[in-house]
Amino acid sequence: MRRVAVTGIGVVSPLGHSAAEVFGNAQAGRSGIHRLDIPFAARLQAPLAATARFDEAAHFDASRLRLLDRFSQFALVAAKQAVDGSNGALADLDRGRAGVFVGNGMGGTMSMDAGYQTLYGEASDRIKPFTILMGMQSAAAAWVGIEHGLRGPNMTYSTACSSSAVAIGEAWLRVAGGQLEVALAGGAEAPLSNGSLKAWEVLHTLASIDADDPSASCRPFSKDRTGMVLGEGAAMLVIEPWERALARGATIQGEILGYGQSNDASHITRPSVQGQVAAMHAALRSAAIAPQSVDAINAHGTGTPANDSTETAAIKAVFGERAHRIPISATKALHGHLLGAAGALECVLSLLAMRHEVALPTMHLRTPDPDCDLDYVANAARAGVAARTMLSNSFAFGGTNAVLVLRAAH
Amino acid sequence: MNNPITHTFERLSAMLARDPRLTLDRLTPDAPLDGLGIDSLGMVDVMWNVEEEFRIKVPLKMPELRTVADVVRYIDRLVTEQGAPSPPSGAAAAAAPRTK
Repeated sequence: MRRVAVTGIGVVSPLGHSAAEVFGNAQAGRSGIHRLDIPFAARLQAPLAATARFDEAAHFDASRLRLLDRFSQFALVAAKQAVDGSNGALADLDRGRAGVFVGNGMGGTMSMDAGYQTLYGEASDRIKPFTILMGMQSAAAAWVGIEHGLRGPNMTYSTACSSSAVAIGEAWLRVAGGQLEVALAGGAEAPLSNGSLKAWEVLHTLASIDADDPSASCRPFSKDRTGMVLGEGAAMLVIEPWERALARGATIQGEILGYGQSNDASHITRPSVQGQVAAMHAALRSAAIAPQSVDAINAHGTGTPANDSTETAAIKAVFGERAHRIPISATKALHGHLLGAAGALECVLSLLAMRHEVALPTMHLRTPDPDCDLDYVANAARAGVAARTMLSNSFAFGGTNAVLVLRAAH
Repeated sequence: MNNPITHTFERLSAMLARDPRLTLDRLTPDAPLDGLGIDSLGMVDVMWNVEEEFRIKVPLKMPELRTVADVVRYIDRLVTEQGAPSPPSGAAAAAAPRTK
């Protein structure tokens, strides 16, 4: 297996539209979660979201926008940032050996929702002509492939909340295994359609509004946590063999060291300690490292009662007594849950945290929970944490768990 | 009274010219559609707008259309077949002053 470097990072997110901006806001604990100010908010019990504050017209002309759902727009902008920042990863490249790997949970749900509004809400047959092309789940990956002329595998992974961790992991396998020279890998999600917001609400997994401070409504690992907050955005990485990156003088942002998966095979929503432990063990095995080598963790940390206690138990099972000394960051308190883009964004934040030797904070952790008694870097970033190796956990509905092992470039 | 072909051509041109790349000087009757950047997918979009503009229903199976004049003739055929009224829509009325 070849070593695999990350040489480009692109982000569109509720915390900003560049790696530097996103990291700065995460470090400062500035939340991208806010009260939703849309007409449909009146029909929501807890109108909250983490929106990307994205001006589509600044990136695409009207003729392109007619074909691009919001999740594809995010993916294209993030992919371009990553490629532009890679210092020529796509130059001198057999494009047949370059692939695209995108995670996505809900497809072009904004476009589908608009189509249903036309059909059923307005009782009109004038559904937009490109609704299928905008709504199809593979659209984001397809457009990224077209934009950059990448003719290798063009893959879309949909494993709910672990989708983009899976996409990065699967891309890593192809590059490490010698099948590909470059991959653009990550995730994109734009889930804030009216129908989606309502459907999530009735599942009773979303957070209640914090009346004093809506931006503090998502409180991972806090006893008073009430659920997750939906977020939107994309994160894309350029990954390539370490030696190729060195040879062309690229700036290496970090290394993908391993990737493990498991399936709970037990319940469609309820997480399983056993399944999460199996995914972390599989990741450590693939990286050929012992648990003692893990210096920090980016938790799945959704802020739902079930996830956070289960994840805490799983981390204890893998790391034993040492679990209490590992800084664990749950950044969803700030950027919300980006579903199929969550794993990619958290992978990016983990790489940046290692690069800056900072443990990112788990914000709004007000009330200790006896079932969540580890070091969550509560409420303030911690400087001087020279983590060399991190896990980034992604645990999904359906029981599809994925864990990435990441290593600092230094 | 308007020549019906010319009238349809003008309405179609005004509609197409909403795309900033399709300036009216390029929209001549014999202009090939592919030369205007209107490929098969572009035609889907054009016909979706044509349905609204001309109050007609475009069948699932379309004939091969190569030029702007082909589209004009096809629209006129559908209007005749479907006996559709042809009041200019708001969009066409607003765009009408732009016709030469």
